[in-house]
Amino acid sequence: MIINLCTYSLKSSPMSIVTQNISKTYGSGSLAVHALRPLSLTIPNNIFLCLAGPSGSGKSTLLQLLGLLDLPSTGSIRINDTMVPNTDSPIRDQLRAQHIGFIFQRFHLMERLRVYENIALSLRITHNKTLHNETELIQEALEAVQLSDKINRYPKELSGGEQQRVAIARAICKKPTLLIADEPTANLDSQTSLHIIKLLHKLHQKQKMTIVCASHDPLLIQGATHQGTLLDGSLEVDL
Amino acid sequence: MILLLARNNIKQNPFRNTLTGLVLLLCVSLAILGHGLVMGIDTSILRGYTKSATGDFILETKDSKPLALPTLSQSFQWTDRLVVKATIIEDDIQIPVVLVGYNTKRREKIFSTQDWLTSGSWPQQEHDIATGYQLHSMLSNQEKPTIAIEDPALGLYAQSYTISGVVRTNNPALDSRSIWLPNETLSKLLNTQTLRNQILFKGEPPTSTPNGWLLSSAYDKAESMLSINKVRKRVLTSLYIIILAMAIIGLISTTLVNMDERNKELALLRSLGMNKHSITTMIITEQLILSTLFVVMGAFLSGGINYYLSENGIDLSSQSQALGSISVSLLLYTHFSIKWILLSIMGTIFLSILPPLFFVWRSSSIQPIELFGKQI
Ligand SMILES: Nc1ncnc2c1ncn2[C@@H]1O[C@H](COP(=O)(O)OP(=O)(O)O)[C@@H](O)[C@H]1O
Ligand SMILES: [Mg+2]
Repeated sequence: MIINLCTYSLKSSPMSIVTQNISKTYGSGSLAVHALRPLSLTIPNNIFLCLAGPSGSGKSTLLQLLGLLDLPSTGSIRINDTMVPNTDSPIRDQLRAQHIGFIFQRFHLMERLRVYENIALSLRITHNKTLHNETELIQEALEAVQLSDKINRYPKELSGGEQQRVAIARAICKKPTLLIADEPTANLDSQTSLHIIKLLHKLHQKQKMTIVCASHDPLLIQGATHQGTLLDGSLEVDL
Repeated sequence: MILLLARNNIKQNPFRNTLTGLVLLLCVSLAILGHGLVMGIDTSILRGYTKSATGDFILETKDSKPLALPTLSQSFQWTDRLVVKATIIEDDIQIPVVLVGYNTKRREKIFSTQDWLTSGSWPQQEHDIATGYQLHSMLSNQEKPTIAIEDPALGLYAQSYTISGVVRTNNPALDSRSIWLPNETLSKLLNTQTLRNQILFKGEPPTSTPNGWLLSSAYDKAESMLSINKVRKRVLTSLYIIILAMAIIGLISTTLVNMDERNKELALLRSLGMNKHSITTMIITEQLILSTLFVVMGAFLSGGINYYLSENGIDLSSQSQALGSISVSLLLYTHFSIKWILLSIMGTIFLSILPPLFFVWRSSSIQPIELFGKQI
């Protein structure tokens, strides 16, 4: 299946992520689960794609492949103009550090590090050193998620919604090519979810972020520029 | 960044890290103290013997047959001690003993009695004797033992005595075999003032040995006891190796468990783009800091104890008396070796690094997402 999300001409719109026939199969033989069928997907800059679909349809699998957290069973991925190696290589780590911001359903903050340090950690891994303007970058990211006043708190002193906003700040501080969110609101109540959804929309519109997310939340799906539905490992996109 | 993460790790689970630290501390202490004890066994015997021994030098007759006292040059310092081999006759049983005669007026000077424990009193009456405490327990149901000096040439002299006191010198050879009695009492038993088969004295070694006599130092005597010690040493060494192996297994498994709990943390770091090299550096640095801290602490502690024991020894016999039944006579000295302490420190640190290395190797050979387990 080939899906091209470019609504503009190819030249004027730099493509961020291109996948070619990526698929993922767990297990083998009669126990094999085809979590994702071969998929060629072009994700240009400044798109907001939201994937829907029942549980077990392969949403997480696709996001993990896009986020370079897992190796595809077949196919390849290109980020901007770099081919992502399909072997276990430090280049994958480097590409992940520079281009991917991943937001997890369970936030995954370092419990014993302050908000500031959690974000700094991401920056230091990306740049492999402490930047001289680290503080400004962190403040900028925290402003975007409206948490500037909580910069010295520990994660456990924050509400679930606030923790997820810290996780978003951690993902966007390094200005990734692609922001990926796997059911970012699934662990939050509806009021807090709304806040996160608005925040993602704002990041897309104001900061021109490229976002791919998976969610069941109608509000999040409706606000995206593109909607996709996964069914048994196959993607259908409404253009 | 590594320091940031190390701080996170230490704060993340202080209990887990303290536990690992304590195991490390235990391990290095075991290595050091165990080695000190095993290697100290010989030293203990030698020092125990020479400390409470009967003299610096011993003149003994060949075949232990009593001879007339040789004329000794001026350089000898007669210690006013007479030592004669004899037997206690108890119905069918004969117990070989050593009769230690002494000048009653100079007893305190002849023996270093300040380290000895005596219950009852030193012989006062004509037929009083004191016995070594291990010998005493063998004689416990005999109030008036009969002591005999048997020699084909001299005939049999036997006499019954009353035990007035029990002496504990911490010299196993003495405690298990000695009978203490004034020179006069001994002379009466010998029936002569001049026949001896053993003479002890302090001072310079004699330039020539009198005819019919053999000269040895107390140290030589003690050394001959080391052969008896060989079995004990072998058992102790095996025990040491077994305990040390168990400690090492404990150390490795604790460190491994410690690491296993960190999968989620590593999953996050890798999803943020941290590469294997940095993760390895991080884990090893953390482990090194933790290990060094506790291992050096443990080494100082056990090394200190070891040093103290090697200098002063510990009297296990008084401890065992407090416990009651078992009568072990042992003045324990440990062997102190800086070399072994350094080796223990390095060995323990090295061992504590292995599990993390294995862990990093394993966790970095799978994809970050698998590290998260089912909890994305
Ligand atoms: N690690 C795995 N091992 C085996 N099967 C897996 C694994 N991860 C996901 N799957 C299977 O792949 C399919 C897609 O899963 P997933 O991508 O998590 O779906 P979704 O996120 O849409 O709920 C499911 O059938 C799931 O059981
Ligand atoms: Mg999912």
